[in-house]
Amino acid sequence: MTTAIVSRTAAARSPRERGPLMLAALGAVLAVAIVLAIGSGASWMSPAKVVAVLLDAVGLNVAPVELREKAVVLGIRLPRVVLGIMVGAGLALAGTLMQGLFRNPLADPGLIGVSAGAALMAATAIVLGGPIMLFLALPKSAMPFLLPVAAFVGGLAATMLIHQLARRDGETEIATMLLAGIAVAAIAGAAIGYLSFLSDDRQLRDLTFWTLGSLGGSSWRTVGAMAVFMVPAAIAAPLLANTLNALILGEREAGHLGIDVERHKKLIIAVSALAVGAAVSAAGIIGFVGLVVPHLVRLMLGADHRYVVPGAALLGASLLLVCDLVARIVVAPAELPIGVVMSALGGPFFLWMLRRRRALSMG
Amino acid sequence: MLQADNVSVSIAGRRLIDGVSLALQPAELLAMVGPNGAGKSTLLRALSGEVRLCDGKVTLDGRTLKQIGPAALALRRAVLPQETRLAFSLTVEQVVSLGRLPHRGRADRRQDRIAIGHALQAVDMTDFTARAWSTLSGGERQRVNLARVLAQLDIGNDAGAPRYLLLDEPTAALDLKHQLALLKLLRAQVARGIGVLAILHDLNQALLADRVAVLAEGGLIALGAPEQVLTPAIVRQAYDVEARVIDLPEGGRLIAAG
Repeated sequence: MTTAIVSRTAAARSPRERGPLMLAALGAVLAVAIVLAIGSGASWMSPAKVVAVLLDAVGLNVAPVELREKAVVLGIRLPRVVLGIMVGAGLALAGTLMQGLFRNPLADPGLIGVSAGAALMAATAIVLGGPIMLFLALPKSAMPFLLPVAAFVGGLAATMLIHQLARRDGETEIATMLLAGIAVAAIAGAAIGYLSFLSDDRQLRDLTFWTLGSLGGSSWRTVGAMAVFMVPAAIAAPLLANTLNALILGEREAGHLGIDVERHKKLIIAVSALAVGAAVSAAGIIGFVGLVVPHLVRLMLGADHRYVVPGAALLGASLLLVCDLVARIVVAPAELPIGVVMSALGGPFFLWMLRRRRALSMG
Repeated sequence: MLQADNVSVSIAGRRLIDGVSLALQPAELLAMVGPNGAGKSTLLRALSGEVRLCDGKVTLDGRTLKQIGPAALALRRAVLPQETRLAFSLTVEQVVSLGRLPHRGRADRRQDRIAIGHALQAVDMTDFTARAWSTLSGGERQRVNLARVLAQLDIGNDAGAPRYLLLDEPTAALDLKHQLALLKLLRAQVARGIGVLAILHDLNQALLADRVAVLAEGGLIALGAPEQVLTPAIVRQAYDVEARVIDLPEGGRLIAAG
């Protein structure tokens, strides 16, 4: 009897204790991914070397560092890695927020057309950016921000549209959500196709990059422009964890628990659109991160969003860095668009989820 | 006092309740009965502040629910829905601890723990704390959900402003033993000063309430002590069913329909 009680309380504690432990593990995974991502490229750098260069950059000289190594790490590889972290974390956070909002694990910014909406507006900004800036009488210095702002607006509009279409009486119609996503993606694809006819050669190359998704061409400037959008989203997302937890019960139940549901739903939509907009403007459409990552995190540490939100950010960043690594290695010295790698991984995962859900609903 | 004053609600152009006035007092068990589609759930949702009213108002101690605001309201009234479908599987303990959300910044961890423990004990689910929601039966889910609303109303003592508990068919998914346990539990809440409104289908269970409200076709057709309200005439008027009221020799009564 006594042992039964003891083992029961131990088991009852486990989710609470497992959360912080798993977050620490995910943090360690990300650290390893960062060092590997910085170390690999045209010239390989050992992890010890990478750490030495990074420490040197913040003024801690632990080992001799060559100027050339410093230039490669800080000028070329680090911005790409930082961008990868933000894109991966952003997409995973957006997926987590949308799944919480739609109360469905299949809500992914790529699948339900939010990334497509963001990409359409980004493409519009690329092709018609000059005239738009002229029309709005904006200074040339605002140009780097036009892209993320446009992507944010596109993502926001797409999310609101899908939410409007797929929600009925506080519940999501899953088929409508996914089908509406297909429709939005098709419309955006058609519009981007039309825009490609209006564009010159350079713009056309940029457009192709959006539709496939890539971290190539990253610089500290793109990192800075993206951070302006990503940092507020990353700060706001954990603050919404309690609301997301209450939404697991349902919208009505969340209201009974004292949450201003309508206001918080708008906040969730805005924050996820901010994250998707930032990610898409910096790296184009990279699908499935928002689908795969929250699902894996929930399997690891349960559905409590106080842990799922930071866990998804950490795992999303790691996953994107690893996929970028694969994209750079498999056809070296050329590189695959990272979106291609992600889709190769995410597509089968999505099919597996569909099968598993069917098995669950029949059981 | 949680009061509906001449309340009307229409959804999608259909008037679901029409000019209903009903007051839930502290420390009473008020049973709401009536045929399907009578507007019972709608009235409960109006009292919980969940639906927009077309007409009338709902007040808690004289202030409208809107004036009180959702956060303050959640400390004074809890709602048990008919059925809750979780979007993602949580453990039993996690579900019950969601009932403590309104107490964030008011109660410390220890108080939360005690409230959750008491609530689980009250519904006889202490052995299930670490179980996943997805593995529970319908009745077990209902009991866990009940523990959640009990934890929500737990402020550590029974002083302070009266609290209210609104339950939509709480006995529907329960077996006979747990139905009786639930009614006893509701009585215990009433003894602590909580005003309890429960939608019930079994008229014999409604007999155990302090007052009974009978709804039919969106209107309140009778309100009062069970023996005055649950008569053959009113049952016929509400349900279009013939019923006999049998006084038992050992005390108490029984309603037999058909």
